[in-house]
Amino acid sequence: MAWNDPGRNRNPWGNRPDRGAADLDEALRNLQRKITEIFGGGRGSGNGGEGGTPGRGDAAMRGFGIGTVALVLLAVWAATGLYKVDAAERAVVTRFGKFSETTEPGLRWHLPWPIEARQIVNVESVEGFSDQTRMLTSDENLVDINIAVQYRRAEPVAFVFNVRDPEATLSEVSESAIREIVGHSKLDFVLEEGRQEITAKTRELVQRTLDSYKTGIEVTTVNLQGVSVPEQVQSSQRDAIKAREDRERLALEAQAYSNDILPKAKGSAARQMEDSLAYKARIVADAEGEAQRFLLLLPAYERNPAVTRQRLYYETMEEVFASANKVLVDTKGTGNMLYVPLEKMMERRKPALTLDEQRQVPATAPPRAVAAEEPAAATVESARERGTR
Amino acid sequence: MGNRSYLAVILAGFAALVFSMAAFVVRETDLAIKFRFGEIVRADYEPGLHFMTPLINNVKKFDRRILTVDYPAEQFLTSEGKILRINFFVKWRISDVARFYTSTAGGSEEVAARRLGEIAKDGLKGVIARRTIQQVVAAERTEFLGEVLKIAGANVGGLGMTMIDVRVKSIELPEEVSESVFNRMRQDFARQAAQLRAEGSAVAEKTRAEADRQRTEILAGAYRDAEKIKGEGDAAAADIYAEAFSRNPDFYAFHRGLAAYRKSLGKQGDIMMLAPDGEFFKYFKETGR
Repeated sequence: MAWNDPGRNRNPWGNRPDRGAADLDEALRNLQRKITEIFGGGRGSGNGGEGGTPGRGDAAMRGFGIGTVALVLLAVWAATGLYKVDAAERAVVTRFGKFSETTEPGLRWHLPWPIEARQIVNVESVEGFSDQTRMLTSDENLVDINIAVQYRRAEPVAFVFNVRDPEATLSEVSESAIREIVGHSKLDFVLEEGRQEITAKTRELVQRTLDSYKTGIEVTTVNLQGVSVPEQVQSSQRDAIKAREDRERLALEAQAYSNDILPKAKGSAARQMEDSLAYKARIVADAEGEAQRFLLLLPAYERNPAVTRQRLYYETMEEVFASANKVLVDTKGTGNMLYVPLEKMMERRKPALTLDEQRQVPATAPPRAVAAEEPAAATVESARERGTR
Repeated sequence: MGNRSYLAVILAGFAALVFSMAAFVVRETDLAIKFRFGEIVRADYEPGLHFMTPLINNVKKFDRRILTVDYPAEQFLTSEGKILRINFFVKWRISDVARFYTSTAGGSEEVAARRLGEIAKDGLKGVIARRTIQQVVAAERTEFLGEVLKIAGANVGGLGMTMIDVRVKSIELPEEVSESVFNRMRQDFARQAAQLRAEGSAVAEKTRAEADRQRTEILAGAYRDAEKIKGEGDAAAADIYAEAFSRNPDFYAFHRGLAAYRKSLGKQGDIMMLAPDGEFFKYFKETGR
């Protein structure tokens, strides 16, 4: 069939007349039988079944039969011009092939075949298709694009008359348009911020092209359902995306580091301040205390300087010598070497730290023996070993 | 009577038959040519009901609408010598049905499609040969296809057709070229990734360094302030000491000396080597004598 209208409405003259003809035959036969029954008197009923071939009845009755048949035929023929247009549809009516009118929804009638014909087009329903293709971007990268186009047959007359297979045309034009628009865009733009713009431009271009062909199709939306780089480079792309996340992550980690150490530093600074204030308070208080003590002691001292001095000296030395190991070295005589096994004494001292103090007493004995045998050592000050504590 | 009515019916039927043979319908989508024994008599029919003489005339109908021919991918050479596989389609219509009939072996659409395809391909070939891949891909349709149409359209006119549009449906790169495109894309992505990561490190490093600097500043400032406070303390203490001790420096020296001994000497484990002739041992020796 030359008219490639949407499937459902295919072939406006289609089966209906044929089916009508079949129904017609049967209806006619029924009618004929009834007529012969009524008018044919006693004769008819047996032959009624063959009423369709009016050869045996009498002439008047035949004339009447033919007239009725013709009338019924005419009515049935006329009835084939009846058609229904749904709310979403419009019918394009042609008379002898020439366009005569577009009819609105409702029950309609046109002159029956072969004088007039109708083609019903759904002008409201939004149809769609999607198409996946690989194309080149302006920076010569390849990108796979899945485009979905939705459209409706807005102008039924143009849709029916101007272009053979308007819907295939739409599909071709869409593919060509998206290719052209993407061909003008860079890959990054296509993959990221450009989707909106690309669909808008594509829609516009498709519509403009369709209008130039007068297809009667209105493109309602164009969607980019999928935009991706070819499979072969997807892993690289994923890595690039991951790198972007890495960048954010690194920055956040550094920020976290900063957020961690700065408060700690502030805390530590505050501690230093407080410590220094504490130091100041302590040292001043110490000074005041010691000064007070001294000043209180001073008048007593000044009353009996010699005695007080002596007393203080012995008390102090008593305290100092009480808990230390002592080596007495007689310094008479001149510069002979004096061997004092300090290391051994130190070693022996160690367990003594945990034991009671009596254990230390024998430790002092051997050196003293040495000192007795060799009384010529030089003056040895004890200060050398002070650091060992 | 019966025979006459039969005759009437037969005559009516015959008339209808003749009428149906003489009449023909030209639809909105049709172009029609009327022939007289093969000779074209008329080719400018408007849609509607028309008549001819049966047996002498006959009528052929063609499509008035815009038609599409879709061509499988063909190879084209660009100016830099690369091969592109281009799939294009042509929109056309019959502009002069009589000429169309004679030039396409009896109005065969297949023949027409072949002729159009050759012409469009020649046009495309010429236009593409003067452009790089990039220019082909990104070319403005109006400019690019305008040229194709100009070249092709002129050649098509004589065939009774009008070329309405030539559109590129798909452009494919040959295998080895697309492989190199993939490689380049991979490198691009790798470069992007490296740059992003480097940027990330840079930002992170900067943030860390800033944080470290601030920490140092904070700590140094705190140290400075702390030292100052300590100094104040020291100064105050020194004044207090000096004020008190200057009352009797000699006793202070003695007193302080003793305090120092007490603090620093005579701790558990100290070993003192002493010559028994100091002040402390004065009586120690006397009793021994």
